Amino acid sequence: MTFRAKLFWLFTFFVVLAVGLVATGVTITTRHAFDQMDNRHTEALVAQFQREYQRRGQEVALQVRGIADGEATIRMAIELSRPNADVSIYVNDAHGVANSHQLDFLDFVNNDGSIISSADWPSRFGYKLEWVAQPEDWASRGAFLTRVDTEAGPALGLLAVATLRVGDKNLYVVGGEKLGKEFLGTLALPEGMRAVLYRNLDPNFSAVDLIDANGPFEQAERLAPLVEKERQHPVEQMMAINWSADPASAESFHVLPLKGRNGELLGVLLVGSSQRERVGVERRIILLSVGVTVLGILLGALLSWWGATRVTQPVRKLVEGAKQIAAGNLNTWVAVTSRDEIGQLALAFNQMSEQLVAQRDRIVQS
Amino acid sequence: MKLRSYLYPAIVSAIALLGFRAAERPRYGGTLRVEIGASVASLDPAQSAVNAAETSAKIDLLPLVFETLVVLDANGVPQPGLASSWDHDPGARQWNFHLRPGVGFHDGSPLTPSSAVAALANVDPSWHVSSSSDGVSIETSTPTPDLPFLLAEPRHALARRGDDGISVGTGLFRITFWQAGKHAVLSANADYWAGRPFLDSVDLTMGISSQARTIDLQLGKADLVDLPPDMVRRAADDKLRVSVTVPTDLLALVFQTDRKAVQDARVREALARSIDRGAIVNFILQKQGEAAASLLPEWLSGTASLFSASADPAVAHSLWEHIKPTPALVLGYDSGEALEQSIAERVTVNARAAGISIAARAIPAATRPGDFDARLVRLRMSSPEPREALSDLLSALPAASSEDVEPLPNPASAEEIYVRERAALDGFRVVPLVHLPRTYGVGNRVRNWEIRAGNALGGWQLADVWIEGEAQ
Repeated sequence: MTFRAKLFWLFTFFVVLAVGLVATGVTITTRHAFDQMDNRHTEALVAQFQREYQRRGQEVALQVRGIADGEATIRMAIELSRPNADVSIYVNDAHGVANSHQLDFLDFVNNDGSIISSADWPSRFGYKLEWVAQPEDWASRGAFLTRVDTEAGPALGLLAVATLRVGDKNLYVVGGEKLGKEFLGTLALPEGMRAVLYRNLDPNFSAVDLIDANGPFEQAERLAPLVEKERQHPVEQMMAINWSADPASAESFHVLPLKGRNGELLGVLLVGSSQRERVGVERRIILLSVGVTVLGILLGALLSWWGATRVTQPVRKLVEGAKQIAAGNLNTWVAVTSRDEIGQLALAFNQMSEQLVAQRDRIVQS
Repeated sequence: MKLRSYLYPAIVSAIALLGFRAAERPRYGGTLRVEIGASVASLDPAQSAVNAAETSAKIDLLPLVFETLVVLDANGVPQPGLASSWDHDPGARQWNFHLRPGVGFHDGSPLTPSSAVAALANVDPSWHVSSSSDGVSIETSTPTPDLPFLLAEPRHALARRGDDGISVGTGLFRITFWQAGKHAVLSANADYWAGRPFLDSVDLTMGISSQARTIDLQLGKADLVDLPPDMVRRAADDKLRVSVTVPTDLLALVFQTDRKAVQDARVREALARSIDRGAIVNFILQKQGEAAASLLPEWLSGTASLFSASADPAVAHSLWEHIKPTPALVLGYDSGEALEQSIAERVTVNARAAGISIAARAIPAATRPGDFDARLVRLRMSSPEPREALSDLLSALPAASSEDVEPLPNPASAEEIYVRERAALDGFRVVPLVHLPRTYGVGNRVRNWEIRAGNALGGWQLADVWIEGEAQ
C-alpha cells in the first residue's frame, strides 16, 4: 500500500468516526428530549382527563341534586309517600327533565328500587335497580363510574344519586352522563396524541367497546393485547405498539384504569403518543450524518492527495537525485522548496553532492 | 231609591239568566275546528287506507259525508238510515231495503234504487244486489240475520261516483275543499233529508302532532282533537274536556309464521307469556284501555275475562331455555305511531327480562312485513255484533289459518264465538295485547258531543253538535 493510500484511509476513518460519534450523540439526545416531551404531554393529558372527569362528576352530582330539590320532584316524592300511590302518572316525567338538564341518563326510582320513569329507556319502568335502594350514603359518594343498561345495550355512565326522603320512604334520582366518544371529544389533544377508551362491559374483549373521539376505534383488535393486559393487571402502565413494519408507525400508550364505586374495572383509558415525529427527526439526523460522511470521504480523498503530493514530491526528487549519484552523475542537484525536514534533507543532499564532486576533483588533481 | 236598589240586581239577574238559557239553547252556525293526527288521503269509501291511523280516522269522518242504509243507535240496535224500513224472508237470505224518499246526493242527483245498487254491487261477492221498485234487494248465499249490522258499517256507505271520478254522498256535510292528507273543509248540507246540522262547517286539519293538537285545544284554536290514550289523563289534569269511548281497537302481536325463527310454537308462546299487559295499560296507556288476551273486548263478547292476560316470565324463560338454537327475533311496529313504538319497546323489555333475544324496529313504508318475525297490528272492531266483529278480525289478521276463515255459523251463539276465538289464539300466532278506546279532547265551546257505546264503532255524530257563542 502506498503512502498516499495509507494517508487516504487514515483521513476517511477519522472523518467517519467523528461524524458517527456526533450523529449518535445527537440522536440519543433527541430521543431523550422527545421521550421527555412525550411524557410531559401524556402526563398533561392524563391530568386533563382526570380534571375533566372530576369536573363532569361534580356537575352531574350538582344537577342530580338540583333535580331532586326541584318542586316537581318534591311533589312526586310527597305523592309517592302516600299509601297506594299511583306511580303510573310519572312514567314519562324523566324524559323532559333529562332534556332540560342535558343529562344522558335519568331515572326516578321508587323506595323499593323499582324504576318509576326512565329517560334513556322509557319502557323499562317497573323493573328494579337493586343497587340504588341498598344502604349507601349517596350524598357523600358524589359521582361515580358505573355500568348502565340501556335499550341499545350496556353503556358506561358517570352517575350520581340523590335521595329525597318523605316520611319513611325514599325517592331516588339517578342521573348522569354517558362516558363515550362525546366525552373524549371534549379533551384538547396535542398533535400526535389521541385518547382511546375501552368500555369494560363484557367478560371478553369486545372490539365495539373500544372507541375514540370519532366513534368505534379502527384496528381495535390490535389493541386487544394492551387492553387484556390492563384487564389482568389494572394499574397505570406504559405500553407500545407498532402498527406496521415501519418504525415510524410506533405508538406508545399510557394506560389508565377507570374503576367503579366498588373498585371494579369498568373502563381503560389509553393515551396514545405517536413516535412518527421522533423517528422522522432521527431519520433526518442519520441522513445528515451519511451526507456529512460522504462529504468527509471526498474531502479526505482530496486532502490526502494534496497532502501526499506535498510530502512525496520532494522525496521522489531526492530518490531520483540519489539514483543519479549512484549512477556516477555526481553533479546532481535537487531543488530546495521548503525549510522543513524535507527541505533540510534536500539541502543536505545538495551539500553531499557538492562534497562528493569536490572530493572527486581533489582526487583527480592529486 | 229603594225600588232602584232592588230593580238593578233583578234586571242583571234576569239578563244573566236569559243569557245562560240562551247559551244552553242550540244555535245554528259556526265552524267546528278539528285537528287529527292521521293523514287521510281520500274519504272515498271504496278507497282503502294505508295504515291503521288512517283507517280509524276515515271511519270517524266517513259518516259525516256518506251514509249507510242502516244506522246503529246508542244501544247498538239497527235503526233506519237511508233505508226507511226493511224486511227479509224466514231464512234471512233475501232482504229488501226500502229507500227513504226525498234523499239526494251532494251533486243534486236523487238517491234511487239503481244508484244504491251501483254503490253496493261490489261490496261483497257473495251478495246478489238488485233493485226493486222502492229500494234494493240483497240475496245472500247463506242465512245472514245480521245483515243490518253489516250494512251499518261505514265501509258500506252509499256513494255515487260522478263523471269526474269523485264520489259524493248524501250525508250531513258535503266536501267543499279537500287537500289530501292535510286540510279539508266540509260544509253543511242544507238539503239534508233530516234537516241541516247546527254547524255551518267542519274545518279539518290533518297530520298534526299530538302535542300540537293538545296545545291548540288548550289555547282554543281547535274544538275537537283526537288524543292518544296516553295523553288523556294529562289532558284531564289540565282541565280539558275528554271524551273516551269503550275499547274499539285491538292491538295485537302477529307472528309471521312463514319466518323460520317463529315457526316453533314454543318461541311464540315464550314471547306471549313474557308480556306484562297490565303494565302496558297502566303506564303506557295511562289506564285507558284494557289488557287483552282475547280478540274481542269484554263489552262486545262478554267472554274476554275467560282468557288469561297475566304474564308468566318464569314459564317464558323455561320455554326459551329449551329452544336450541335460540333465535334473535325482530318485532316491527308502524313507523309513524309513537304509541305502538312505546308498546313494542315494552314488549322487548319484558321479553329480554325472560331471556328472550328480541329487538323492536320501525317498519318503514317500503318494507315488506315479511322482514319481521312479528309485528304490532292495530285493528278496529267493525261491528257491535260479536260474530261480525270476530269474522272481520279473523279475516284481517294475516296469520289466520284456513280454519279461522271458515265462516262462523249465522247466527252464532256466545259459546260458538268463544270457541272460535279460542281456536284462533291457541297456536300463539296472534297474541292480543290491549283493547284501546278512541279518545278525544273537546273544546269548551262544543255542545252535545258524545259517543255512546252502541255507536262507538261508527263515525262521529255531529248532527246535534253546536258551537257555543257563534253568531246565528
